[in-house]
Amino acid sequence: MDIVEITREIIDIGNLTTRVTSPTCGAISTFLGTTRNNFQGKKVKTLEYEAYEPMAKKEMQKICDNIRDKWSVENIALVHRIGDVPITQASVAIVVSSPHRKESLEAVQYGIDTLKATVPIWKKEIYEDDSYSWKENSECCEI
Amino acid sequence: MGEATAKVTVLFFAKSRELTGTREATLEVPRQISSVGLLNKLISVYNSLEVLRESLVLSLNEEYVSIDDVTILELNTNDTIAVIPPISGG
Repeated sequence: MDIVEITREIIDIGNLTTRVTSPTCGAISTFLGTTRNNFQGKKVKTLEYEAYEPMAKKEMQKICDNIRDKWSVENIALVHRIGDVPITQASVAIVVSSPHRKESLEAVQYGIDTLKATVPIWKKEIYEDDSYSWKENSECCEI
Repeated sequence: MGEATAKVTVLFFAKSRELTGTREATLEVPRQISSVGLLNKLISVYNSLEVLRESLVLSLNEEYVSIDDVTILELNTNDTIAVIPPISGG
């Protein structure tokens, strides 16, 4: 089962873990991307994410499909939060279950690396002095 | 013989949305155009995008289009083009 979601709500990692749990699996690997309070010495007040939602979901589904081509995994959850994400909260979660740990660990790494390179989502950092900056992933622009 | 132009929907995101001050527009474009030709057309209509010229990619109906002069797009009325600045998800 693939869970591909874009949400404006807090990402409930406990709920996601429950949803990917399978009796045939001995491993669940999780990556959580959380929002940082600093960038090159500047204090970040809050972050805003924006998505091209239908295309982002398509690209996220492609990541699931590619994971299944590469590794033997059972369930995959790819969830990205958009809108305001307060500092310390999760903006992205990737949770994968597999019969053995190697597959889900590698799949999670691939999942986040690829998501940052291909999924049309944008992050705006808003600083304490109310200036802001649209970020650019170093992984991006290689498509 | 069909029309020589198509009326496409253009979506702007993130910095390109702020620069143009618009989320969505309708634009009449040649039905056959290279991807760099389409980008040039967009920048000629929305001059403020010039600062992003080197970093933009486009999508056509939710699939990425690389910007070059050998990718020839076949556009139809009601197609959706998106202007995609460098992404920063995660």
